Amino acid sequence: MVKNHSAIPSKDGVLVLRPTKGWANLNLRDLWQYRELIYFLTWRDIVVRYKQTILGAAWAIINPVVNMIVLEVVFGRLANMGSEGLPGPIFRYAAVMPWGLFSKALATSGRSMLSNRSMITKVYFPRLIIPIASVLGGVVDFLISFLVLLGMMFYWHVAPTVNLLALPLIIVLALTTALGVGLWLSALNVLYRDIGYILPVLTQLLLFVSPVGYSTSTVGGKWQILYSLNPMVGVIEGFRWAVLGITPGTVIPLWNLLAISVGVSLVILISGLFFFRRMERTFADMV
Amino acid sequence: MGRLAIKAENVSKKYQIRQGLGGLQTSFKAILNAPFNWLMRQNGRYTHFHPSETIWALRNISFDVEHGESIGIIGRNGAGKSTLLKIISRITRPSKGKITLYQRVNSLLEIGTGFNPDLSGRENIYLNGSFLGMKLSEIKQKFDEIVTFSEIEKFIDTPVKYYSSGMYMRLAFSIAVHLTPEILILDEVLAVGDAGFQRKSQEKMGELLSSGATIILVSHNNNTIRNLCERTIWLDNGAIKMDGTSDIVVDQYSKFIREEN
Ligand SMILES: Nc1ncnc2c1ncn2[C@@H]1O[C@H](COP(=O)(O)OP(=O)(O)O)[C@@H](O)[C@H]1O
Ligand SMILES: [Mg+2]
Repeated sequence: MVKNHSAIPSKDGVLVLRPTKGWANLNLRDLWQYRELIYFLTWRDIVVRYKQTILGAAWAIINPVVNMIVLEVVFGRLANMGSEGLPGPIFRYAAVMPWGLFSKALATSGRSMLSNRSMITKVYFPRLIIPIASVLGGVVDFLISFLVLLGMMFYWHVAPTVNLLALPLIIVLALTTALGVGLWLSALNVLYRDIGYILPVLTQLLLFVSPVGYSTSTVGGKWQILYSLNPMVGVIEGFRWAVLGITPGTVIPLWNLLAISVGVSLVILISGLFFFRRMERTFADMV
Repeated sequence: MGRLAIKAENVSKKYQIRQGLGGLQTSFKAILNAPFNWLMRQNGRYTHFHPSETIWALRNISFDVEHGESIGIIGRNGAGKSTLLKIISRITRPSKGKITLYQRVNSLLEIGTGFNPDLSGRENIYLNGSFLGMKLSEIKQKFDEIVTFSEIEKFIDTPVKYYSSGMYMRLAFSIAVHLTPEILILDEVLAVGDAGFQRKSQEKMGELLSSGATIILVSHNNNTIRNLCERTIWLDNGAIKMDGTSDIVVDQYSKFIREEN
């Protein structure tokens, strides 16, 4: 009789509001009913970002190119680290792309609950929409940054392989990982504002323990399992495998690295969803 | 008795006021202070350090609302009016008791929720409509009507940061009055625009009412309450002080306020 959580109860639907304790169910149906709002928020984040900058969409290319150059100088030229037989710039750019998607998603979703405070305290919608839209907002930049990769592949004669068919799956893995971490950070940021300051430092640290500037094969054999607990390891090596057709010369096969990453990523996502849902009911009172 | 729209049973709401900056700093302080607090308690002495203070914004509120009723809510600042509306709107949960909603609720606790200054009027209609729970198809269908009602046709593609505050309010309000709610919740948002626009808005509310919508509205304007609401609930210090015919409750409330001053 009682449709407990339906957002917009049908004509005869009844909604009961009462104190909640303990763990809340995920209520993905509610999320589905509000799917248009996910679209609108994602669209808003993208449009506003481009309207506020002079160069607009050009940043989607300038950012990763500059990052690639810095990494190429530091890891390629100064530290003389290999690039699995490919030209350094293309090898590093192929990692900068998913890394950019991930780090931007962390930055925006981490502060998303605070930047959308006025909506959270004034209107009901499933709060999960906010971090989800912040993560999706980075996808357009990511797609634009592909142009440079295509140019580099053309220039250095790196032909795409059938691996390219797996690219959508790798992108989903990247988004899943970003959303999982983003959920934790956005919920924690409501409780502890300090997260906003920790976040850039954390992202910087993660960059060095992810194979962005170097290859996972550089990591000592026995450390590779521990290393691949960082889900971005699977994302980045998987991305290079999909677009450049290269497999890192690691002791552990790429598939095992990927499997570990997928596992860790799912654990972070699911725990993040439950943690967020649990914290959610206090957001409107606390932000 | 008509059909029920809302049933509130012994609803209470507790707020925790976090001291200082909140967050990690408070947590650290609480941890550092814990042993001292414990020692003081052992000595039977009170401590100065409270990790948080609690406020009961609502205490044991119970009422029924029937289909098509229009109810005014009045009371001094801090009486708990907004808190009650927030619970009915699902923005926050009650701490005790329960509320049953038998109809779909649309809330307007603020004008222009989610408006973005960099977006045009047109873009904000879509964004804000979506926040208020409208479907895309519904917004498209009502778009022209909203723009006409707001009287800002010429500026519809201008970013709203260039609007005067009057234009901004009119646009925001026009979106809201084009909702087709079963239950409409309004928190002090009826006093928008010039006299003409206000009359138009009140007429729109009247139309909504005669079409059978249920309305709950908080207002500091006694005339608005008398015109639009048959029944009024007076909240004082989180509790219901009076619940009855608007004319009687508003009179009593005005007398109470006058005597207090
Ligand atoms: N998020 C919050 N955290 C702590 N206290 C709050 C919060 N919101 C409201 N209060 C307190 O609850 C009481 C009732 O507030 P409110 O419902 O806004 O009153 P009204 O709308 O009648 O002026 C006030 O004492 C207010 O300070
Ligand atoms: Mg109020």
